[in-house]
Amino acid sequence: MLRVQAGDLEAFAQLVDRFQTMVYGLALSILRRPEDAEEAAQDTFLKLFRGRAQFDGTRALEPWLLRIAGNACRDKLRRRRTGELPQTRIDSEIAPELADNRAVAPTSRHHVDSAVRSELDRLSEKVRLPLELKYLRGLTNQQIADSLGISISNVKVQLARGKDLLASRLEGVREV
Amino acid sequence: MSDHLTPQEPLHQPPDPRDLGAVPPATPECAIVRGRLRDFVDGDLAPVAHRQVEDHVHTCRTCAVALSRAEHELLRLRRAFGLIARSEPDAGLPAPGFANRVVSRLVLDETSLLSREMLAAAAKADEGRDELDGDPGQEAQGAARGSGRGRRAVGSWGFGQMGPAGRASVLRTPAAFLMACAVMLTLLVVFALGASGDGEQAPQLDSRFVVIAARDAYSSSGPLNRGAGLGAGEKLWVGVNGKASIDLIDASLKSQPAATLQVTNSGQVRMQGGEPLLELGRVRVDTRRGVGFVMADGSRVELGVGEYEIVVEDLRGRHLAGEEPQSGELRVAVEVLSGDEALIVRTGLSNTAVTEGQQGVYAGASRVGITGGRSTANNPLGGLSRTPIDLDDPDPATLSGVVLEGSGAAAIGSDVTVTFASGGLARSWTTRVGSNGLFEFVTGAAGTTKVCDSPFAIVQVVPTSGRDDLGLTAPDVFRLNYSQSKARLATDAIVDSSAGLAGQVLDETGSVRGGVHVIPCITDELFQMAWPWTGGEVVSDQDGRFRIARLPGVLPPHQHLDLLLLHPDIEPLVQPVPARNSWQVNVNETFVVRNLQPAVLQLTTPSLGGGSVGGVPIVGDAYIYEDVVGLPPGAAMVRRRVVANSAGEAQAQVGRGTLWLRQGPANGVGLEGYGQGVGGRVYMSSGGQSGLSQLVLVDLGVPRRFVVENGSSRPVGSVFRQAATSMAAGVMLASAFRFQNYSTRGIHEIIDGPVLYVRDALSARSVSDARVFAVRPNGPRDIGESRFLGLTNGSGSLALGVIAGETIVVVSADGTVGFEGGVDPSRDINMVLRANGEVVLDGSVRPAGPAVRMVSVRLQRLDSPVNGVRSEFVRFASVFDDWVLRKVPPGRYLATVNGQSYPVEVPSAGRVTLH
Repeated sequence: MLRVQAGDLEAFAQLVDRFQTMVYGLALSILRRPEDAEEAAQDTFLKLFRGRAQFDGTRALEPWLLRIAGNACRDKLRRRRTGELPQTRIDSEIAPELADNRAVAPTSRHHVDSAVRSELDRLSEKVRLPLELKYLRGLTNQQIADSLGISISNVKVQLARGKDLLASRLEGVREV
Repeated sequence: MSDHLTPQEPLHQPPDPRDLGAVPPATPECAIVRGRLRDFVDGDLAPVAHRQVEDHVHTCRTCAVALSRAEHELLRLRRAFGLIARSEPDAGLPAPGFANRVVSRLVLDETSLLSREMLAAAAKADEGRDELDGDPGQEAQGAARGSGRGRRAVGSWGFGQMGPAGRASVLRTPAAFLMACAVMLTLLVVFALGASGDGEQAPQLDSRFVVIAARDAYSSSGPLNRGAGLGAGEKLWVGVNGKASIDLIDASLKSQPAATLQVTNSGQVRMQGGEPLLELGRVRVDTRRGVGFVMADGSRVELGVGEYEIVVEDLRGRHLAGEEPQSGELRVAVEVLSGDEALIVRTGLSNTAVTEGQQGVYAGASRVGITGGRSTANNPLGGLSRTPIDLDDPDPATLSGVVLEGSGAAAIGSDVTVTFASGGLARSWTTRVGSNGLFEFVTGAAGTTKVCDSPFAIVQVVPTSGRDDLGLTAPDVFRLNYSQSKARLATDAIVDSSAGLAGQVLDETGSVRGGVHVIPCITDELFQMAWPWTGGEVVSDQDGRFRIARLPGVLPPHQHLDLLLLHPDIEPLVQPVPARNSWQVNVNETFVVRNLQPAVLQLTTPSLGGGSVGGVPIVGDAYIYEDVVGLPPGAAMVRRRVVANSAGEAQAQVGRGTLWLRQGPANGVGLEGYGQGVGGRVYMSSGGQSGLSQLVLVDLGVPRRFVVENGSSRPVGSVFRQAATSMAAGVMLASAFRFQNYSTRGIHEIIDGPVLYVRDALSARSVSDARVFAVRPNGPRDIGESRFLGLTNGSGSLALGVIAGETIVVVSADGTVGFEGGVDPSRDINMVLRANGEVVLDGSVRPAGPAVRMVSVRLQRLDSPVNGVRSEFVRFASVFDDWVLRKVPPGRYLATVNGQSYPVEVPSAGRVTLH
């Protein structure tokens, strides 16, 4: 980070390489569209570079980066035009089809995968995001708290709610 | 224990109500521990609290039970997320080159900042020319800022701290001050010229290229690296296998870049007169706004917003001698991959518009000819390529198409299963064909990303049960045309007429066999997969007779129809039959099945270390699996339960297939793993907790005797294809077909980049509409798992997303096949398809007797062209076509006719006789 603070673009590129998965994954979970996630992730790193003078080198970079990323995503969400229907409606339309067609559809594996994804998408953002960030993106509770701008306790509460909801909705997928 | 609580570890989670209902916490400590169990299993507890939970569950049985529930819940959760991760494996990764794009944007943003500052300076100068005589230091400072940044942004990577303090300090060095003075003078001249002219002229920005990525690419100053810039007059060229991605920064004040160019195939591009001049090579252009290109022969190509490919070839090859191509000596091809039309402007000739999916070509002084006319399949794998979907469409997004009978009549009542990509996920939908032959369903509400966004769909049609004269179709790929968010099959799906098949099942003694399940199965000869149609299953009656209908009338190249005859007491029979609208159709057949034979199985645990370790007899229940002879390896297995005595010996009735013993705990996760299904159980992968040991024949007597092979057991997935498995008459059938995998976001290791060019060996023409697959040898029995990549476009090319070392397999519409093993993602692929050959059955190998008028021949390829591809073909020869087997890909084979095998080498575009 010291090299980045000195304006070294090679070092900056390395930093982007190192954290891109975390930042992009966070952005994708929040924004749900790869195009928006790419843009928000780029914004994050540009903001980091431009604000590098303000960074306190004695502290960890990651929480700062996650806060920037979370803010960039929320900015993007605010700017996103209104009028978009929530995705849950689509998923709830598709889910019954997935079950009904499984006997004849040639891609049963896709069905099961899509059904799990659909159930996750049906959760509210407040509950879904911590769950997805933890178990799909591999973020720690602290990282989730940093990126979503909520307390770690709140993260844990939402995780517990999310687990209960998801478990009840995935009853159909059972071990035999 | 409550004093162990700390402010950092609040009792944040309510106990699970189900746990409370079952066994409520007995003590306050139990309540605290229950609240922490989820964090405990997640590993999120502080060490002290973690130890507290550990200690407690060792002494409290009810909390230990609650802990196991929490662990189970976490396991299920991880499995659920594992399913998502498998279905969208790289959805959490940005498209390759992300760091490049960030740095490039940083450079460009700084450049645009320069533009703004210069404009501000110009405006200031324009508002009051008196200010030209004002504070020169201030102007110099602004100019110095601009100049310094412009040079860095275009010419090099590094620039230092750009904060206000940094900018001010620039002027403190003598060199910078001199530079600032020089730029200031330049600006003064520009402003003065503007003042003497119309007084409105803003300072001009130069068009230029900025290199995003480069390999084997050069300018006059040497090899190019990312971040390098090329301005007026500067030329970029790439080597034969080189590639350069460059942003075109135009002279406008709009957001940049105006376009991104990918230059390949010895491409040469220069910036001339503020526009890119394309001298030679292949350039793929992704535009953000209208962009013009100049050709070396003076013609122009005007592009709108979209994706384009321009190929310029020097007809006389003068460039090879270092000369510049001259007017009238170029062949120029402009293809509109997607988006707005392109306009080819030629001196003295009328302009020619090229629309989406078309290619405009001229050579020398000829007029522009339009070819193609088909939409181009983009690579479905990842990237941020422009979606053809208009998300502003106020109507719901739909997918529709037409299904007709071969006669042209509407195939009313047929069921259509369509698999398509949407928002990075594969989705399937089954609907019914209406009275006008049309089917349509809503894929997503307006303005969402849940609409169909793939350039093609996989379609399968099953005729209505009332139409036994029609046959189902194999899953096949169809291009999609789009109108805003509405997708439609580009061509009609056809259900062909199909003659039913009547048969009688006899055993070796001639006795009739009733209760035999007959299941149609489409077998893929190239990729060694089987797709059993359990929906078409029939059962033989007490006279052993059955009649089966709606079998495929026609099958795509290198797929054939098998009938599976299954019964728990007989050996499975796999009988190839011709597709049902062929004149070779056999209308009444006898199917002879074999009874199972007695065997003694010596069952032991795996014997490691050459038999010195392990080998402990297995006592009691055990599962034995047997390969189904005649189907691709790993496609189906008979499952039998046996009981071993105290010495590990079990009596069994078995067939001729390879036998396997399931190893591992009796209740472990093995072949019967995890999943759900309707109309049969659908299994997921095993997770490797148990394996299979092969049983080796050691005594040919009666009964035969088998023992467990030496060595550790094999993972189930390396023996049996496990996805989408169903059960029928004690046989596990794994369902797979060649288009099954076309993950829209690809796999983590996938690299976008190489372009595949497919040509026909005989005609040397490019091959359009060829199906392109990538194969990795990671399937059962080292057979590759195929991944569908797309269709070649009108010029026979397709941009690929591949994994290093994969094999590319191309199948043309007429059945010619090409292979390219060990793909290097950094190199384009030029593939030549060799024509298929024919095999004539000599009288000496044909079945004897005048009554035999048709025979099936199994051709097992010996010279496996590439790793992971083990093709095996079935062809039918008959007296009606002079006993000729057609459409056999060239290569060495072992041909099996009537139980006899013959080696044969099939030539390309030729014929060989089988003696």
